[in-house]
Amino acid sequence: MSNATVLLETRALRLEVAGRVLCDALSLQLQAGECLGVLGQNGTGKTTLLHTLARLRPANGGEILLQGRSLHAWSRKALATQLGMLFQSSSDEMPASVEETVLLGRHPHLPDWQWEAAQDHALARAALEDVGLQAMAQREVASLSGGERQRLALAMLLAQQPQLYLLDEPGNHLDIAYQVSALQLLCARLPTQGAAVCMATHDINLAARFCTRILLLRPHGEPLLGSAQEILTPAILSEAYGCRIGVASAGTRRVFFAE
Amino acid sequence: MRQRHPLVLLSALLGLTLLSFLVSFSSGSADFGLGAVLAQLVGQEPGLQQQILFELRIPRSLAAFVTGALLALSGVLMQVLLRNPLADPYILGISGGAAVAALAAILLGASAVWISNAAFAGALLSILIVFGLAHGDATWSSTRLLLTGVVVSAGWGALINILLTTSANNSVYSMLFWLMGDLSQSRVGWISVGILLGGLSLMLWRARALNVLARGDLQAEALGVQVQRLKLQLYVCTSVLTACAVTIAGSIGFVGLVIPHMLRLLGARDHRLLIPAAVLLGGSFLMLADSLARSIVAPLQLPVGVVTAIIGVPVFLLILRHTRSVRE
Repeated sequence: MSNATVLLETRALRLEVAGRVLCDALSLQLQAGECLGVLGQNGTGKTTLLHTLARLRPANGGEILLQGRSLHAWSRKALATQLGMLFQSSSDEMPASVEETVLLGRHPHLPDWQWEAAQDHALARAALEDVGLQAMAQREVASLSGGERQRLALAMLLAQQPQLYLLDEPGNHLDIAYQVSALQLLCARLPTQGAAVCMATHDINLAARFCTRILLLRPHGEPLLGSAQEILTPAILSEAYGCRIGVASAGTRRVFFAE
Repeated sequence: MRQRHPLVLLSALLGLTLLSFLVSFSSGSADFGLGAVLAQLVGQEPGLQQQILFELRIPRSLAAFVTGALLALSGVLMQVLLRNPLADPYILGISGGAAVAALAAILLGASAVWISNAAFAGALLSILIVFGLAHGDATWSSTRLLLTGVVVSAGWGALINILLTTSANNSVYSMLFWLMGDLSQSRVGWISVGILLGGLSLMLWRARALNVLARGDLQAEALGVQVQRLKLQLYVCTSVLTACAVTIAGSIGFVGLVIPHMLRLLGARDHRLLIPAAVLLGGSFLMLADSLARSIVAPLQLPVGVVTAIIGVPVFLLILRHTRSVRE
């Protein structure tokens, strides 16, 4: 593949948390249009990896390149126009309406003094419609349910329009219907926008359905990287999750379950 | 509540501010009402009234406005910095440091100017102590900052009590007035006005970033805000604003905590609107409170800090009750 389509690249990336080595020499390339799933037991470093890729914490070694440029060469604001992140939780102590919150997604695209233009409002409205929250635009964030907040966070990310979407547990708090529709929505846009998704999830079936490649973080040993077909097998998963995992076929899909 | 056009709220507050200035100019123990004030403002006639207006009332009204504006602005910033709706300008111990120094100056029989200077020095000392301790691990966690500030504040509180219990009766009276907040000796200079305008413009420039910061440090960072730098700016700004207010008028409670909440309940949550609105409402509110403080029991004067709470508590509770019934 040509180098131009590589959005994100890590070279010999090393991650440590409190002296424990999560990975020592992780090298991966993420192409435009791709959806990479990050799987692994609790505490194997899924969130740490995403935070490192988003430059929210320093790497413990190695290099990360976004569009061929070292992550550190980007200004924080320029970085936010290219790379957006969905977090596991949000702070709602300070009051704000749904509409105001979605508009925050436009922040990196606007100069300091400038107010949001009609185009920004249109993008925010479209994002709310995409997640089915358009009727709640005037509601207080504090009055939303957990699932509605997760959809709001997703709408904010959609309004941000990054090239690289980092999703930390995108299925959190969501009903099964919204889990699927949210990711369908996002994955459908990837080819036209030249964007890519990297999502960490504990839901193997969600990853099996949407991810083309899988990075499996393991409690012992280096992470495994490969196509979904290669990695998502009962043997590999059982070893990585420390319990017996079985698989069943449902039509063309495979469904994983703990035995 | 539905969002109204920002200009509607700001114009209403501007009108309130002008009205409050006139009320404030017309209040006092001398019998000298609005008509006479307007006559003096239009065509100045030399005499006692002119002297009272220009040498006593106008400077005091300005002091009240600037102090109220400083406190309300500082309160808005402190609440975002700590991401805690209960934060007020004094929560990190700035007023405690100022109070200990001011009380010590009162004890030594210093003049009003030196009491103010001591208060400012005490406030700066407290800012540096909290900054040094909270910044120890090179990060700016809101919890760590809050804890450090509250603990330092408690330390100052103990020193204040030592000073109060060991002082002679006559100085205790002026100490209590200082602690409750008092504008009777207050004058503002260009420095305070400059600090207010400087803080206002810096934070208006960062206002959209503050909206983002309110959603959490990591989220703000991911949306392109340099969080550590913004928090440092916030800390310095809110500290200097508070130090300035405490120097002018002692620790006047309630304004910095409640004015930002009143405005948020009225629909001003966007900091680009909230910041200028807090300056206008904080200033007007303290001017009106001070007008009452010097006219309710005239010729005696109440400490203005008492009046802010007496008016502010019912007004705030009414707004809270009203908006809750609208929203649910």
